[in-house]
Amino acid sequence: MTSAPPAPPRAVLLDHGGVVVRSVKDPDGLARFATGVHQILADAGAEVPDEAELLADIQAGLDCYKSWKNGNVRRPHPREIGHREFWVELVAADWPEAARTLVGAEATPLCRAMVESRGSKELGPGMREFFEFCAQAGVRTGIVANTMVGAINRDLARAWGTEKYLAVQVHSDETGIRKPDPEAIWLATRALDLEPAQVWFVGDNYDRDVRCARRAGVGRAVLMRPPDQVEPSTRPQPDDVVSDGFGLTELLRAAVQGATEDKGGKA
Amino acid sequence: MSTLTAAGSDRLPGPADATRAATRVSGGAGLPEVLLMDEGGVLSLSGGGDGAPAEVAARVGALIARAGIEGQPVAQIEADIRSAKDSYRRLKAAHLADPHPVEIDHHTFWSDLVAGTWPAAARALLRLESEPLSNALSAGNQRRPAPGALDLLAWATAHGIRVGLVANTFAAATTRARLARWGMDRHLSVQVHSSETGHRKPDPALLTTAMTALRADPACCWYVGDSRAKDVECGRRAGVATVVLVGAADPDDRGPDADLCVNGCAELHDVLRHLANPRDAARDTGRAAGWDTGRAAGWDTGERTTEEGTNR
Repeated sequence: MTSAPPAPPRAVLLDHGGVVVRSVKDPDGLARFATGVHQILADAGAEVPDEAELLADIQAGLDCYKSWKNGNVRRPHPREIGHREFWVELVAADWPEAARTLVGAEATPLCRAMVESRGSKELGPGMREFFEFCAQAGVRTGIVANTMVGAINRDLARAWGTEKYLAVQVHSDETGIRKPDPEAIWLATRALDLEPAQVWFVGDNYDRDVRCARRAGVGRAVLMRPPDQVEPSTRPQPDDVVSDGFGLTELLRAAVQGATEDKGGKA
Repeated sequence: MSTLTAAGSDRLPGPADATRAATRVSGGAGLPEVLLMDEGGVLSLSGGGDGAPAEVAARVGALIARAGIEGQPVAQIEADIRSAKDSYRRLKAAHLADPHPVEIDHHTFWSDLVAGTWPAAARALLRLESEPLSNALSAGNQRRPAPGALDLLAWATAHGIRVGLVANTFAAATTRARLARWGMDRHLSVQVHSSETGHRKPDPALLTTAMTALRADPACCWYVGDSRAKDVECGRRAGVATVVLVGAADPDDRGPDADLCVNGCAELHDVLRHLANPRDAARDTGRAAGWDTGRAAGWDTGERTTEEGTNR
C-alpha cells in the first residue's frame, strides 16, 4: 500500500451474516421444517394445508419477506418484520383462522426453527484472529445486524467463545430498526459512548451496509467481499474492500501501527 | 387432608368426593375437549431463589466493562434491579383494575425501570441487551415441575384432550425452554405467552387466542389457574365452561369463585379420571394408597404455589 494508512478507530462495528459468520446452506432443511409445522398444526386439530402446500406457503412467505426487504432498502427508516407478522401475514394469510392463530402464537419459536433449518453457520475466515487482534490493540468490536432472530446470533457467539469480544450487539429483530437506517449504527455508538466518526463499519453489501455507514457518518465504511464480486459502478462506494477477516485484520493493523509511528515520530 | 372442593360445597376428601366434584363441575358434560393451563403455580412451582439479581447485576457490570463505558458499581446495579422488580410487581397489581392490561416490554424494564437514572451510554447498552437480560433474570427464579403436572398432561393428551398453555410471563423464551426441558412442551398444542402477545391476563385475549388456535368452543374448555384475580376472572370473561383454581387460599387474592378448587395437578388428574371412567378411577385410586393419607400429606404443606417475582 502506497497511500497513508487510515486513522485507527476506537471500535469496529461488524455486520453478522457475510462478515462475522458464513452460512452453509442445507437445501432440504426447509422441507423438513415444513413437515414439523404440519405435525404441530395436525396435533392441535387445525385444518391444515397438505405438506407440499405448506412448504410452498412458507417458501412464498420467505420470498415475499426478501422482496419486502429489498423494496424498503432505499427508505430512510426501514423497519424489521415482527415474528408474528411474518407468519400471520406473509405465510398464513389464506389459511383457516385456527391455523393462522396457532402459528401467530408460536411465531417466535417457529422463526427460530425456520432460520436454523435452512443451514448452519460458521465463524468467518480470519474472524477469530481479527477479534484477538482487536482485544490486544484495545479496539472494541460490536455487531450491527439485520436479522430475523438475533437470539441465534447471540447463542452462536456464546458457543464460539466470541461473546467476550463483543462490546455491543444490535439485532434488528430486537430493535425493530433495519440498516440502512443509520439509527442501527447510532444505537451501537451511543451504547459505546463514541461518536460515529470514531468507529468503522464493516458489511458485505452495498445497499444496506455501505449506505448505512455513509448515512451514519462513520470513520470508514469497509466492504467485505471477494475481489471478483466488487461492483465499481455501484453508489455509494466503500472506503476499503477486504475479502475476509484476515484482510480486515491487516487493514486495522496498518491503521494502528501508523498511529503508533506517528506518535513515535512526534515524541 | 385434601382441599378438593366443588364450588359452594364443604371440603370433600376422598375418592367418592372426586366423583361428586367431577359430576358437579362438568354438569354431566363429561371431559373437556380442551384443557387450558396456566404455567406458574400450576405446571411449575417456585423452587426458591429471588431472581438472582446479584448474578444478573454482575453480568450487567461485565457488559458495561466490556463496552468500555461509564457505569454503576455492581451493588448499585443490584439495588436498581431489585427496585425495578418491585415497580414491576406494583404495575402488575395495578393491572388488575385495567380491563386490558398489557405486558411490560423488555426495553422498558431495563432502560426505564432499571437504568432510568444511569448515564446515557449504559442506558442505551441495557436497552440493546434487554432480551437476554430478561431471560437471565427470569431463569434466576428457580422453578420445579409441579408434582403430577407431567402425568396430567400425558394422560390428557393420551385421552384425546388437547392442552394449551396460557401464561403471564416476563420472558417467554425462558418459560418455553423450561417446559421443553421438563418434557411438557410436547403435550402442549399451543402456548400463548403475555410477553409475546403483549396482552396480560385477566384480559381474555390470551385465552381467546388459545381457543381460536385450537378451534375450541369455550363451552368445551376448562381453564386451570392459580389466581382468582387473574385466572378465574380471565376464565369468566372468556366464557369457558369450567374454571379450576389451583393452590391454597390466599386472602389477598380477590376475585370470582372458581367452579372447582384443587390442591394441585394430581388432584385435578383424579377429577378428570373420574369423569373419564368413575369405576376404574376409584379402583386405581384405592390401589394407590388412598387420598386421605399418604398423598394428601404432601398436599397440605401450606406451600404457596403462586409464581413469584418477575416470572409472573
